Amino acid sequence: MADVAADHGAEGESERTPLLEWVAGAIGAILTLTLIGVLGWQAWTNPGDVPPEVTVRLEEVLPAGAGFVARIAGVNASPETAAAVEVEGVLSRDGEVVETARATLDYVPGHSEKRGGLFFAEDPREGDLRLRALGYQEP
Amino acid sequence: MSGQSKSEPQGLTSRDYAVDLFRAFGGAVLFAFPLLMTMEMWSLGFSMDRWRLVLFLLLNLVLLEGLAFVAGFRRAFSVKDDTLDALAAFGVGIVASAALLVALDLISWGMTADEVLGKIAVQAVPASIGAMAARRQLGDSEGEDERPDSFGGELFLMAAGALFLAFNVAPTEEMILIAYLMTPWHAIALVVVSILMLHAFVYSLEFSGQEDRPGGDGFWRSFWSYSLAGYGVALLVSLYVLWTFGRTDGVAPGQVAMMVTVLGFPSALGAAIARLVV
Repeated sequence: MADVAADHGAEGESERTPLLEWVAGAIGAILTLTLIGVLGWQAWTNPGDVPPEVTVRLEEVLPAGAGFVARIAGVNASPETAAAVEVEGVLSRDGEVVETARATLDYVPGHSEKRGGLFFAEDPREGDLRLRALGYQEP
Repeated sequence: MSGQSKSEPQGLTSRDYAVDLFRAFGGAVLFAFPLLMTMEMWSLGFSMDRWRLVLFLLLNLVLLEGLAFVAGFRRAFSVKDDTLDALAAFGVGIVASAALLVALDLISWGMTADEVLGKIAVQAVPASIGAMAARRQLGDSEGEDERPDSFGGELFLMAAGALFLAFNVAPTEEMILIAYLMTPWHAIALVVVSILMLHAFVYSLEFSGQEDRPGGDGFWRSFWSYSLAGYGVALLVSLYVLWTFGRTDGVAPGQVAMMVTVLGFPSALGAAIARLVV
């Protein structure tokens, strides 16, 4: 109500924009321009239609129940997002495959990583654990 | 100026309060049911990072306090009454979501306390906002006697509206899927559309006093002070909600920018229509 009174009463008052409005507008403008800048940079550097490149990295191995869990991260080196990424861990000892575990990562966004886990009955730290992504779906 | 309303503090009886409480329950159910019937919300209850959940609940309390202050249904002009209103709304939100979760068999015996409490806590947020809003929306024509508008109050309302609408869609997988499907060019277009839409709402709903300003000053001032500032608020709220739900974990900044843009659209809409909703 004070606002209304000021608007009708003092003509000079309504010409001046309060500092808070300037600041809030400026913050909004900066955020918007930053966002457009980031998006524009992505658009500029976008290589076009490239496939996702997902590699699987071993984070750590922990005991889980009677067995073990190997915590993994699917890392996407390409700007394209991969969906339904199937990852596989093959544990072998002395050249013989002991165990295979699989998991599916819902999404691995471009230049990002998503974590998951593979369960093993044998300790994956003993032996050779090979991790790889088997395939993906375009989102 | 605000007219004599029967719900002035001195005129408030226990019966009035009971009626308001029923309205609050109605609002809680109305605002919470879309999220109650969203699959992702069920798992969020137990999968959400606990610290983020606690922070979210605390911020919700601050939000309710602010809403009580801006649009206190009892014309409560004291911090004590505002706090009581906020706590009552939160309480209504918790009870309403717990009851509905039981009714839909989403919480039952055999679940851990952690899961049950988590589910109720997440659902209580939209329900409590609904409880707070209902007292105003479903109540007698009390829209006139709000507090005098201040710019800070408007910004707060925009944030509340943005949070509410963003929260309604943020848990769904569609939000991130859309972000993954869009190219950056689509996203830039969406930014422009969001701002234009926000401005159209701001201008047509006529945030108090804007229409009185002489000449072309009103347009640019409302664009700068409300539309741009409001979009900034919407972006920050979107980022916060995405972070709260763990959508940003391990995701590259570029992809986060896309998600923020996508969620920024409903957020901006929420900021624009905040006056009508909350």
